[in-house]
Amino acid sequence: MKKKIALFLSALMMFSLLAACGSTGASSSAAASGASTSGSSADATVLKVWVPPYAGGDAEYTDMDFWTDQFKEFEQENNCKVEVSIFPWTGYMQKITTGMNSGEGPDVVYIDTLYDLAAAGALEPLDSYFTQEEKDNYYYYDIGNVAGGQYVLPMMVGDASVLFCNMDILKEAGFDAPPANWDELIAYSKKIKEVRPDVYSFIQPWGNSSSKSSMMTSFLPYFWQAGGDFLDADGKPNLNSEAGKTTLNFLKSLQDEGIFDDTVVSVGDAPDLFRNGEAAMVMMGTGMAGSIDKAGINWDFSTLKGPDGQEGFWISGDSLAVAANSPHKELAVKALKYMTSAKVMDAFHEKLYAMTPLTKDGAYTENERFQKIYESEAEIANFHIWPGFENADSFYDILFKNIQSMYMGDLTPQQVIDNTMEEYNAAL
Amino acid sequence: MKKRGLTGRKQQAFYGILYILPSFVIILMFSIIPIILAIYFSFTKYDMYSPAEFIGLQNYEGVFKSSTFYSALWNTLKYVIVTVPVQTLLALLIAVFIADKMRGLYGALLKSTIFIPVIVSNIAAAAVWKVMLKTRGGIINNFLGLFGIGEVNWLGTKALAFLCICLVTIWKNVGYYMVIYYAGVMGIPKEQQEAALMDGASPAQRFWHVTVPNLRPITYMIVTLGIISSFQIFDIVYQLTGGGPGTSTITLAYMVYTYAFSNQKLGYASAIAVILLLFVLAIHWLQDKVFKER
Amino acid sequence: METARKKISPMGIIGTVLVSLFALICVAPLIYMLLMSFTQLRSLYIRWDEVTFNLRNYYTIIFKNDFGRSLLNSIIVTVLACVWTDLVCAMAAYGFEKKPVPGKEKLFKIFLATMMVPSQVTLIPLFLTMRKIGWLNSYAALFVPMAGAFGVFMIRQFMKGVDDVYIEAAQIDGCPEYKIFFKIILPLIQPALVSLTIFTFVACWNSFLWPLVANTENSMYTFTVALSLLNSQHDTNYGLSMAAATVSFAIPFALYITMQKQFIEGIALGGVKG
Repeated sequence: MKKKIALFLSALMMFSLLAACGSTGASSSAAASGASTSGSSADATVLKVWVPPYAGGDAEYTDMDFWTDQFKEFEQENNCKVEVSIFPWTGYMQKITTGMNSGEGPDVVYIDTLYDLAAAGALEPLDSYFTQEEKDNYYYYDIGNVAGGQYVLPMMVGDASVLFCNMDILKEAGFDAPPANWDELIAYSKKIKEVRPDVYSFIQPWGNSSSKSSMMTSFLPYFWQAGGDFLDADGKPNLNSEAGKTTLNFLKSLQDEGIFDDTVVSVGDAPDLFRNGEAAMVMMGTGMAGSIDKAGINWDFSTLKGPDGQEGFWISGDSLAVAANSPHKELAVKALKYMTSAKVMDAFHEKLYAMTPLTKDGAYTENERFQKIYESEAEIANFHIWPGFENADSFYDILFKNIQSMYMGDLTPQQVIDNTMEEYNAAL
Repeated sequence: MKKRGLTGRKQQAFYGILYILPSFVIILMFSIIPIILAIYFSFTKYDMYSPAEFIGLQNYEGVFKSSTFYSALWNTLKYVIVTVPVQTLLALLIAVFIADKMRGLYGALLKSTIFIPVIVSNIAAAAVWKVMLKTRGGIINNFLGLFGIGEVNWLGTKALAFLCICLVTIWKNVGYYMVIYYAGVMGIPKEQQEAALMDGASPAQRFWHVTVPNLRPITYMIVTLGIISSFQIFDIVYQLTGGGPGTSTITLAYMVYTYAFSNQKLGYASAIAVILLLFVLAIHWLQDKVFKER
Repeated sequence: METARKKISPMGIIGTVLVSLFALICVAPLIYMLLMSFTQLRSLYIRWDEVTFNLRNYYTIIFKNDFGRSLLNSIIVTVLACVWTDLVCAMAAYGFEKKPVPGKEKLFKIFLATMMVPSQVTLIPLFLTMRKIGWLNSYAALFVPMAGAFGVFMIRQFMKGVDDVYIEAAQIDGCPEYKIFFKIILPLIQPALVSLTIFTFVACWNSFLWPLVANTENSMYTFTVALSLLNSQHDTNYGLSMAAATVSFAIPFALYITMQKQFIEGIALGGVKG
């Protein structure tokens, strides 16, 4: 009797564990059958492509529809099967990090923060796969040269940070053109504050809960305009430079001059304020132009210059890469080139998300006011993507919080620099 | 039939082991082993791509050198000190009041309503609160505006941002503890209450001398669960303030998250987590002592 | 008791008002969420008089992004998690509370300690463990680990109130062990099982990071992961996010409404003993 019970209980346990394993088997066989019923021949190579969503959540046409359509031709030409997975922006990097370690990871992958992956050797160096002619056709090929190699090919380049100005408000204050440099920005802001005390003259979103989005519009562009190199010779970030001091002193002076008040550390959505006509000047990505037009704001923009006349833009450089452990690297690179070809990108810009063309044979569909910066070699030289270095996200998070503390009166600009560097080095 | 020894302790123990075994296997595989791995990682430099490299106590040295860590530690302790007593007391008072004065349908309705936030996901809850707490255009400030109160900078002031995190946490938790307390109050033997009434005890006296002592085991459980969950507060901070402004709302779990996920600094993140674990264990031990002494 | 209820004391009125007010605060954010879900807000500076209300967001959610498939996945995983957790935790709690297992209190302390580690830190090690045993991309990876220490702790608390005489009587009657558990113990702790079911359901249903990381195939998306695909990086429709939050809240809410009588009163009837 005892034995029976014992048997029963262990059977129960075995059963539960089997049930668990059973569902593993079931799901993988389902996946296998899914692949074989897809129409292509059974021995076709399967290429996995991982991308995030770009269509608006309520758009008619989804990312999945788009890529499925676009890859049809590619699949036929190369006798392969492309499996596209769309992963949400929330947790995207966690997904990539774990996914590339799962043994079932992607062949071609979209990444936004590439340093850690590249440094760890997870990405295939691409330079040898491209001919000089192909490289020359890309406007922004070199931007992908980060962490000591060409590990990625920039795909979503654009959204350069420029100073948007509400010209109706500026005219009210007696200005016909946007400010050209920092001094004018301060002078204009003070004047606007007198004429229109009900709006923000110039505002930065230091209350954004994502530290990186504040960095890209409110710190980095100014840092580059101040003429700084974010990384030192060893590839480590260095704030304790002339440019670092100039930038932080400038940011602090905005508060000292009365342009920012105490609420600046809770302002989260500066573009919203601009669209609603509640802010006269905001620095943000050029991609915002569409929604600002829709809101009926009469706007112009400035490529702001620093104290020495230097320009500097943060620009998005989200890229495509090939996994170093992909079993079909040749094919993966082919897919990557296909995805960034004028044909596919033009369709992408038209159907999913408008951006500037990647290649010289691509169509310019973005707001034409920006064409002069996106297709000018001189301006492209001032484009900067996220500096790639070890532990970058923590660095930005620490710096962001220290700048908040500066605006709350707890730290001086020099202390921001010292604290940030100290804190960052502690984690290494 | 064969006589089975009722007192066959060995046999009973054997059954007991069989009963515990499945959950032991699961907890071992999916909790204990990962925790041991995390403790191991805390002595290494590890990013998931290359094998973990043993570096001794360097991660811990780094943690203790970091000033953010001390802010996070202090904030976390403050959360525990504020949220646990407030939510426990609030849950107790509401439960006792409903059990005592509102046995009708309305009381049942209130009880069910107060529980609802428990089933909302932390992320959704924080997202809604964030919209409501907006300085400009947030419904809370609009409402206060009706009484002539100017725009309150809820999430942009150190003290208020901290308070908001606490309030949302309490809002989310009270219902659960209240239901448990309610069950406890209903389980107090009627005779005790009646005896106290006979002795002419006031409601306050009955509360302190009958209700509270009877609920002690439940209080112990609620405080334990509260401490554990408050120490791990993450989602609400992440969504509502991102740890800011400055480092005024950053917590240890938030720090663990940024290092582990944004930067794949798993060794460093694990070191913070191990310190966090030690703190929870220490506080739990203290709490045990306090409860036993009484 | 009766007299106390009939007398209308000022304390009683104040208390009633305060508790009612608190209940209102409990649901107000959710009502706000529901209201916003009918709008297509692109900005959070809401002027309600300019807002139009419609069902477009719900239409988007239902007809896009594999709504049916991900819903089914979530339901399968959540139901499995509930049944599995109830069974495993009830067995363990019974073993801990009613059986003379040597060293059980020490083991129980270790169980409790596992609750004290934040999930952010065990996620990657858990991922590595799952990879080792080959459970990635399976339902098992999502529901099996749900049977954690919390359930054992919770049911054990309840099990303390179950009188040993039931068990002893059954043993004297020669009732086999497995029958004691299934026919006597499980019915006696039913209220606790209902509570644990609700908690497991909510936790499993709302979990996001783990299902995202543990699965690489689109066909394995859970509901929360599929809904998060609606958030685009650059153009936020706040109404849509709120609609997604409302839909994912609606299902545990429906469960709660149907089970709440058993749930809340159940605990009361059984009495939670320390």
